[in-house]
Amino acid sequence: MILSRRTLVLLLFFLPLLALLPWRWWQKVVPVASVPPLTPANNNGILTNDDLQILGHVYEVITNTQDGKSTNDAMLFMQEFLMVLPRSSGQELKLGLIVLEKVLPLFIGELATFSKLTFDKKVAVMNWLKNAPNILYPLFLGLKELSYLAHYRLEKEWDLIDYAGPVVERGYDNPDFNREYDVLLALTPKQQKTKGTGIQL
Amino acid sequence: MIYTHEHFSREKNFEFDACIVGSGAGGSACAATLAKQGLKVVLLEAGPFLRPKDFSQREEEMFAKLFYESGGRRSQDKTVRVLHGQGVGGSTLHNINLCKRLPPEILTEWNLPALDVNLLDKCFEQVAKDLEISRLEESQLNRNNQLFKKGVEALGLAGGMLEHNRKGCLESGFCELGCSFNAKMNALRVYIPQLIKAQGQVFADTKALRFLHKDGEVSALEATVTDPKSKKVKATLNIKAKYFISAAGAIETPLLLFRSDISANGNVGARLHLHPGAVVCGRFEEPVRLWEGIPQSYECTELLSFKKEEHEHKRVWLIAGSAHPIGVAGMLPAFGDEHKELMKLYPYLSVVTPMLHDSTVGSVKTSDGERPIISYNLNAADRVQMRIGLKKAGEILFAAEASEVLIPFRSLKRYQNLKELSADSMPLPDFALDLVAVHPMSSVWMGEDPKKSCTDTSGKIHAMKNLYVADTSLYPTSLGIPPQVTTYAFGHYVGQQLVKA
Repeated sequence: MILSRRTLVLLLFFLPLLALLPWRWWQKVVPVASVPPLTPANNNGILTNDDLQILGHVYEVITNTQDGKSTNDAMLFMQEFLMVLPRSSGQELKLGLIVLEKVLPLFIGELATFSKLTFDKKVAVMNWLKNAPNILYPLFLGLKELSYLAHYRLEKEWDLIDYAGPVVERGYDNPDFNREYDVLLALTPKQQKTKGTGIQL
Repeated sequence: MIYTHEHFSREKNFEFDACIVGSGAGGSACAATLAKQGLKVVLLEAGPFLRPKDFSQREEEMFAKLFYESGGRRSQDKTVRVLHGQGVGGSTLHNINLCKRLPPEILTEWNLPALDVNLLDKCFEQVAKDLEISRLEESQLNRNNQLFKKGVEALGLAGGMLEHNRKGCLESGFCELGCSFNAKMNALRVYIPQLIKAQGQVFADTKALRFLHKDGEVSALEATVTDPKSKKVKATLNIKAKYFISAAGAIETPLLLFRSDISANGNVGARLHLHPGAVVCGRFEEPVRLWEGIPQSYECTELLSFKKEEHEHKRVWLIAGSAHPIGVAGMLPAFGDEHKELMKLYPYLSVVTPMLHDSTVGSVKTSDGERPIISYNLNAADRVQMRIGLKKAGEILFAAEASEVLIPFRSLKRYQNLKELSADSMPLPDFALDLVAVHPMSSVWMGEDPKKSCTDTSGKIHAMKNLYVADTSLYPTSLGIPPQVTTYAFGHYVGQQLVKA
């Protein structure tokens, strides 16, 4: 019997997942990852600190950054950035991270989770993902965009690419640019109490 | 006046003559038109109220403030990134101020005899006056656009300087992150003040949830006011009005209608055009620093024709491209060391963007009423057009004396000369290119047959007595030009039609 493309894709996903179950206990004895832990925080109730740890590993691989401080800083930024995303986007990302962490290492012949692979093996997984079938490729796009968002916001990276950065920070700002808008804004209830004008909503 | 989440703290009922959802080009122009006619108007905006001092020129900060889903919104299969603006002023906060008037051939193609063309003409004239539209001077070309112009002229192609709505521009080059220098003659600077002067009100941070309607008549709109930082709902609003206008853009307007159980015979969201674009880079020996100066000031129209006999085969608009480091880093293929090496080329890259006047028809749906499901897959004809556009862009860059042309396909392709570029058959399967779309339109299109369209030519939704649309959703086809001027004009037009009604 010839299997449909959809069935093949499903098998491709779920067989490795099932095969992974016996390995769950084993993962606990593998040496801990280099990424520092984060303090608990609200991620819209979707992304856990474990997910952020995985993103930290991804950041290191994509940007080729291997110092804990930069990674921790990037994770904190990503955590804050992801908090404003819609819940459904968070769910998609979470699913992608599960696939990355638990399934993709199998495609390069590794049984450990992504977080616990050596740096070179993580690079190999990411290379596989970069050339993955279309159904998985968007995960690479998303992880890459998120990592570079965290990376190229850093001024130290701008020097390497000859980018001078915002000009507003170099004295071009002018309060006159804002005055015509300041007068359009209604007084807040607090301001009304002190100034005694405005409309109470 | 403008009210933000700081002004609201509880449930509140309001009553106005007209309630408009969305403060971009269409919504702001419509709101100002109605308020000047003496109507009591409220304009709702889901995004924040940002002033020039809030535009920090930092990508990581502004993406979240200026774009839905922090700029990460994509089509369902993820092949196209769809940028959709928010904030008081909508997409006019981040657009590059390109002003092109709707080609008459497109109006003819729409075949809408009931459309009041004379009134629409007057609306265009009003917009040109209000936005102080003028053609840029050649002295305002940055290095990137100079090279683009050089290449276009060397090949003898049709091209020219663009018209913009700028006043007092310092040419900082950060236009797409909002103007810190208040030089954009946009909705925020022009129509919001006009609205407020005419006693209109603006509620920022206010998301329209649904229209309450019975027997084809909307009685009220439910909305929530949210603190953008904490994401906590500060207040729920019930707004009664005689007229309601949705101008939330071609993605959010259909979502609002879906949430309100208004489908216009199942047509809402069934059509979508995006003007998808891609990127072609030329590497030069001297620094280009494309992020400095006005990003887009010159156009090449050689591959774009609205004439009936040429239209099918000439649907590519070529324009210079620009991006700051995060945008460029996301666009370049590869990662790790390979990516780092490519980023070192950033100051030396000139970019040309082919944008499609697309014939592909996508759709907008939703499963939860919150997040859009955008289906869009380039059809065969558009793939051919994109290939033609990519090659012509590369040709222009070589003609401008680029030492190398790079196209960020899924695997970066580097061409050392024109012969190599011409010889490439450039198959374009899904994900071959990371497409970006900044002009979603047509999702609630106008027409005269209620079975085959969503609104009539006044913008009123078929079978609804007092519900209108005034944004890019209205256009029955792709425009092939940046839509802002047309959208401002249709905002005025819908307002005038409503007053007449």
